[in-house]
Amino acid sequence: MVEVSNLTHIYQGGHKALENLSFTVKKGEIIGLLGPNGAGKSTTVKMITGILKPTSGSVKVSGYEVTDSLDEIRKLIGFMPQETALYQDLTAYEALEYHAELYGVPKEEVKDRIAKMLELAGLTNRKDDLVKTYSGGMKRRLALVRSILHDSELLILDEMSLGVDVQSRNLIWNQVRKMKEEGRTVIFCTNYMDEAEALADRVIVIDNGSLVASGTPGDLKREHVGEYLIEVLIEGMETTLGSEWLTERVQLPVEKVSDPLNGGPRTAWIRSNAGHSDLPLAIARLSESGLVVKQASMREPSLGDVFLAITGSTLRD
Amino acid sequence: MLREIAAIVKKDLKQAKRDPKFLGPSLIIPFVFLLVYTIMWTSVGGGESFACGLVVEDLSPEANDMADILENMMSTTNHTWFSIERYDLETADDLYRTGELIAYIVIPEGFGDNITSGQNTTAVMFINNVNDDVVKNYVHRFEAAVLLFNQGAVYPGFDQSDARIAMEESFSLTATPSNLKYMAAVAIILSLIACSLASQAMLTATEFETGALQDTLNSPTPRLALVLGRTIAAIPRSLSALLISAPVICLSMNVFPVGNPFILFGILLLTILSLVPIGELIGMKIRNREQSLLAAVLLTVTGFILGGGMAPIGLSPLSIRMIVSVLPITHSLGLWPRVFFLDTMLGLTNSILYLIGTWIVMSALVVRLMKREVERS
Repeated sequence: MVEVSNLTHIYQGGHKALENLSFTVKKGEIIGLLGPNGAGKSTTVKMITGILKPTSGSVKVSGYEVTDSLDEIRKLIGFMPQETALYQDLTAYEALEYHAELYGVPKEEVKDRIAKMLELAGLTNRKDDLVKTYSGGMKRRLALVRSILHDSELLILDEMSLGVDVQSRNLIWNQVRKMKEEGRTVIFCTNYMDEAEALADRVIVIDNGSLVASGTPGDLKREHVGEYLIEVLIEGMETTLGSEWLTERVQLPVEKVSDPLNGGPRTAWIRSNAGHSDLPLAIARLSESGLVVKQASMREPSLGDVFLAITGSTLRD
Repeated sequence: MLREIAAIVKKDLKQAKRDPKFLGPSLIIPFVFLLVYTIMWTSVGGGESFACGLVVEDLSPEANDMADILENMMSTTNHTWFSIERYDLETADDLYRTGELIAYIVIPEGFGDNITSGQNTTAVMFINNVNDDVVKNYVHRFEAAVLLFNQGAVYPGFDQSDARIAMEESFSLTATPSNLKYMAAVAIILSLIACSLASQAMLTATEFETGALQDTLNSPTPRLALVLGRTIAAIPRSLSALLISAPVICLSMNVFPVGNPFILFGILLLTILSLVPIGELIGMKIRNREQSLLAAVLLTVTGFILGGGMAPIGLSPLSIRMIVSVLPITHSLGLWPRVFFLDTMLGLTNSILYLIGTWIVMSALVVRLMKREVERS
């Protein structure tokens, strides 16, 4: 459905937003583009939609080269930009009607489709109110249904749940899942790990404009972190010592050791595939090394741990 | 494509109706200018309502002839700079000192005797004004009266056919309005200019601020439909300002158009078409609603002043003339009062073609730039 090859984009002023990014998206897949703010996610989706021209490389959607076939591409894609991009002085109904006219929705279907979309967005009762009177969540929901109003094959959502309440977020997530059931392809950008884990069939991790990892959430965790992550709070570890020293002591790969805060305890994250048997072993080995284990826990790794493992920094750094 | 154009027009007009702040500049600027101009004009001594005093101290027939000439000189334009009113010397002097009279002429005692005895005689003009143009106009009238007297062209038997050079003047324009009426007429088109620029600049800036324009530009709608839709919507939006400003100006200043209404409407239309893309440019470059409004107002005011709204453009230095001749405002200001006061097409062709050309070129440029601006956002 989407083929991104060696995509590079340099903004005016010389800032390189993307460098040689390549990935493919199959029809019916839900792809999460995960990365911190400024990683290049929005730039990527803007180039898929044809808003931005790549400096080099190519993007193909349904076999069409985006830069050469903008008219065809625009009909195929539904795009929800990060800033919602709604006309504030129109009502929800008028906003959807305007969109339907511009995207060539058959005249006889316009009313029914708008009614359906308003129902999906939970806005039927507020359809005649001006958009500027809506809450952030309502605006996001309206923007989402607007992007699917014209029956788009490919839905691109840029930070779909940015600044919305839990109710709106669940509604948006359910819609995305429904899109998948209907066989549509969805690409979404997010820096919320739970969103990527909950929705994405496959996650593409981008940092500093480059692809750093790609795969299903499970594969990424197994490959970069392991089945489990042991988190221990330890005292007595010299500030000059780091994860390598600790790895030798525990005999398990230590992902990271936090910097000591005011000479206090440090947190260490240890990868483990054996999980329950590794936890007591790790505690014992740490104690044998003269360290005091103040607290220990074990959990399944998150995509945040994957990001930490790959880039050495948390997603919010 | 008609469906998309209709949708854009409908959307733009709904937005305008629900947020009519764009009308502000078009309802304020013309009235401020009209007020300032009226105060300025009357305080420097311009305008036909100002009198030049005449004091006749001599009772001779010669003095009477001179006074007749001064009082009954006909101007070939419709509006003289001032009227002559008789006073006694003391009153004239008092009014002169208090500033109520800009000038007065004294025909002193012995004026006639000097002439009949073959001696030189004197008539005196007192004038006090800092405006060189005003002084010149008073003095020229006085000089003309002296020449007529010397020529023997005495009212009412005045006959130019006996003169060595007979004067038969004809003007390209058969009628010229007074300064205040002219200003009232241009205030009407100024209202439209302010509305066209400000409304489009504000709309575009708002659409950039909210990102809504991105959605429109990202749709499969043909670019031509986008341009046409936005332009068509701008026409009634801009004209809406005139629903208020035009009747108020016409009725309060007692000025009414006499030119062909279709040509007048054509000028309004061309003005809107040529200014809307400039409003778009302001909006897309500034991308802030309030700042775009300020920029549009600034352009309107400077364009109006430099483009010949308050003084003939020929008075400006060449460099300024060259710059302002690029602005469509200058051409609209050149066209509008001509047709407003006269039923003529004389001298209109170049400006009409310029406005049409501006519309086409600027619209093409705007679509191109808008796409690039969205890419940068």
